Amino acid sequence: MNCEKCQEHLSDFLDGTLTGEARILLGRHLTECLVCADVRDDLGAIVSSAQAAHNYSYAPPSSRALWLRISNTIEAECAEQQQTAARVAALAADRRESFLTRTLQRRWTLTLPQLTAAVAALVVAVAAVTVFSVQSLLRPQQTAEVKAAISGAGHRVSSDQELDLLMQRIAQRKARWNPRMRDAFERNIMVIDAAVNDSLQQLDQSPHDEVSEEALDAAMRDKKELLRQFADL
Amino acid sequence: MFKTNYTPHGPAPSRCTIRAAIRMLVACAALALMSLWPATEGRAQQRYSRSFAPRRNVSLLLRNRSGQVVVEGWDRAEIRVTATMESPAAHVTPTLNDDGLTIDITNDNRGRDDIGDVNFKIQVPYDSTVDLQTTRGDITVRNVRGRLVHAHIFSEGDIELTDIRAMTVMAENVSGDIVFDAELLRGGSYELKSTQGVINMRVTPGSGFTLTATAPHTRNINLGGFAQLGNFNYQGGDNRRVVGTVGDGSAKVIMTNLRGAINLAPRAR
Repeated sequence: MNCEKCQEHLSDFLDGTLTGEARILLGRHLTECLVCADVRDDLGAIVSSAQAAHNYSYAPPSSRALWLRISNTIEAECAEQQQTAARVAALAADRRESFLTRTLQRRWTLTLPQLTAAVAALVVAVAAVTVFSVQSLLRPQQTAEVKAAISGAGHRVSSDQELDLLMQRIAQRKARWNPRMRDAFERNIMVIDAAVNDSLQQLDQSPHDEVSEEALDAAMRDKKELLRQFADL
Repeated sequence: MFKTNYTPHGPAPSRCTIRAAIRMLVACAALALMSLWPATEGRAQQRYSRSFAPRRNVSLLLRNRSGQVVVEGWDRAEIRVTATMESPAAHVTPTLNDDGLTIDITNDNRGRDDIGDVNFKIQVPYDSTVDLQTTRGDITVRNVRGRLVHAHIFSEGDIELTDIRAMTVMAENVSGDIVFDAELLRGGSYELKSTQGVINMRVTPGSGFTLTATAPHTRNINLGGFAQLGNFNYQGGDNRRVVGTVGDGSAKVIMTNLRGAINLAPRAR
């Protein structure tokens, strides 16, 4: 019998349920193998202890008492952790204080070139901070202008798209209008386009001319109304 | 009956008989044409006439497609609508409700590409509010003294507003002249806009108003007799805009003509 087989049947051997040839072989192996013999001794001791304690009745624990013990244990651990953290923080503050104290209490002795370099560095730093601050103040205005330009462009684009759609619709339906209506449309769209061109030419010469801007707006409004009206027929 | 000449082969018609037959045929054809003439005329024009008694608000909203519109104030508490419709005749279905009378030719005939002009003559109580819009055609408003008079021609047509007494007057067209010959009320607002045409405004000489007149293309702004009565400044360079005040400046007058002239003058008493 080998050790593996022996330990497999050892429990039955101790209980007395192993009989016959197997019991003989296992007993022989135990006499020959010290390791398995030690295992048998240990297992036998455990079994004996279990059998001895079999008749001992454990008092059922009070749940309240049990919880109090657990709670006390946890609180004690937490208090210990807090004390540790406080100690670490106090130590760090002590280190900072000592560094500041050391720095402030140090006596600085500078030569003239060092003093000049320090003043120059200070001037450069102040100038840099000033430039940065001014740029920060200007940036929102520029952003607002850019946004206004973008929204204006977007408005123009959407407006142009609407005009294109209206023109397409009119082109599809124009052939079915009576000739008087068709002629009226052609004449008046030309009149409005001429007014638009007048304003654009004027704005080319004077880009910020208020009268021309208003005239352009009025002409575009008229054009949109005309197209909407004829597209709605 | 017909006279006949007998030949060896039988009777032959004479020249007189043939002429008589031709005359009879021509006469029959003429009669047939004359009998058809009134029917053709009847198809060419249809007439609509109806009176409405507004319950509360005396207001008129008209949206026409093409044709002339004439609105006149009268001393009756009813609105009379008379419409003459050219062929193919448009559907005219006015609706009267608490907001007043609405005639919407554009909506009533949407999808009908070819309809004839509808010429309106509408008589309204003097104190009516009048809102008139048309795609093409002249608009005339006379003797109306309501809160608002609005005349808008989306393409071409003349606008004539005479003997109006309203706090708010707006007239706008693309091509065509605008005539405003009426009274300015204190605190009133009067706006005349055209793209190409002539704007003529004639107001009571004692009126007080602030004026903003803009004619960017023609630079032709004629202040007439008011040039000496008020303080005016020319803006925009080259007389493209005139701004000024006459009297107490209580009424507000805005005239804009993108490609035409502006004339301001006192009304003839």
